[in-house]
Amino acid sequence: MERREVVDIICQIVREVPGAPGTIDENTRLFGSEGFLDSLKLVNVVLDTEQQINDSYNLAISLADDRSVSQKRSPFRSVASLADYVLAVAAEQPRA
Amino acid sequence: MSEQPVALVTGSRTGIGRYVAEQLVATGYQVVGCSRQPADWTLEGYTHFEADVADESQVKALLANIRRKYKRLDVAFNNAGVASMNHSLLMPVATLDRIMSINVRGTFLVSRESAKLMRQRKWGRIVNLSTVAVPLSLEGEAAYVASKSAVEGLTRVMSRELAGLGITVNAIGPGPIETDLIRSVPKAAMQSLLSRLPIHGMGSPEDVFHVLQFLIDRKSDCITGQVIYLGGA
Repeated sequence: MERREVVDIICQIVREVPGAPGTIDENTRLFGSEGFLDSLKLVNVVLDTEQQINDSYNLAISLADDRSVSQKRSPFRSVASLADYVLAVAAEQPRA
Repeated sequence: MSEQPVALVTGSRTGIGRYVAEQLVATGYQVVGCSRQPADWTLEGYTHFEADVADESQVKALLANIRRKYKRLDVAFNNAGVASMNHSLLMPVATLDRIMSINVRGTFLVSRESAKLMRQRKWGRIVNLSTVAVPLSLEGEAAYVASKSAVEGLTRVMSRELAGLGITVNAIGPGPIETDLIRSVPKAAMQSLLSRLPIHGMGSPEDVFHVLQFLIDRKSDCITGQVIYLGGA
């Protein structure tokens, strides 16, 4: 699983969210003070990412995290931090 | 994707779960059931899985199977549960852990994973099983009542969190029903419980299914976060 592929998957999902900025790249802020996602949109983006990773890599990851709504430490604060989190979780998971 | 609606019933090997699974099949659902042991009955339209609802990987695998086979989930009925009648001062902590694990952790895991699949069609019904022992604060059922109080809390909070995904979450709280769960309860204790309900008779799985049908009806879109007690508690 390449980081570039994961970033592309997340960007594709984020582009579909109503109210998304015109340009989406790995610097796009998702959640927190500078993010554009409310908590329900965040849930959908995270679960769509989980599903897409499952479908693309046959890998059943769970992106649940206690820091989800933390402004400073949330792994969901940007496309880049979400991609890094996906890679970290995937590295620990057995193949489905 | 399956043309038929799909329902998941946990604890479907016996009792209320089996009855509900059979009735859902009869009303046109594809039903997936699960229990820790294999089922000793079969039915066209019903598929049984051996899964422990308190085990996250087994619940995820169960829902992954439903997603692969049917690509949809309409109803999840969290029926699996255990009870133990004992004075709290005589209750081993292992009993508390077992009851909380199956009743609370199991309900949470099945609800969480079911909602992930339901949200893809922006529609779903989650129905949990509580008990009249909660409003009656029934003596001798401390762990069971604590676990079902937690289930009611999950019901109320998840109903709010999942409303935006088109999913309702409700609970049914039956009175005593003749199943494995209460077979060991002494007759005197049962009579005492029944006398505290406005309707004194034992309930039946039919009573539960009747309320379940109401809650999962397509017209029940605005009914969520509710606990409906049977017997009038």
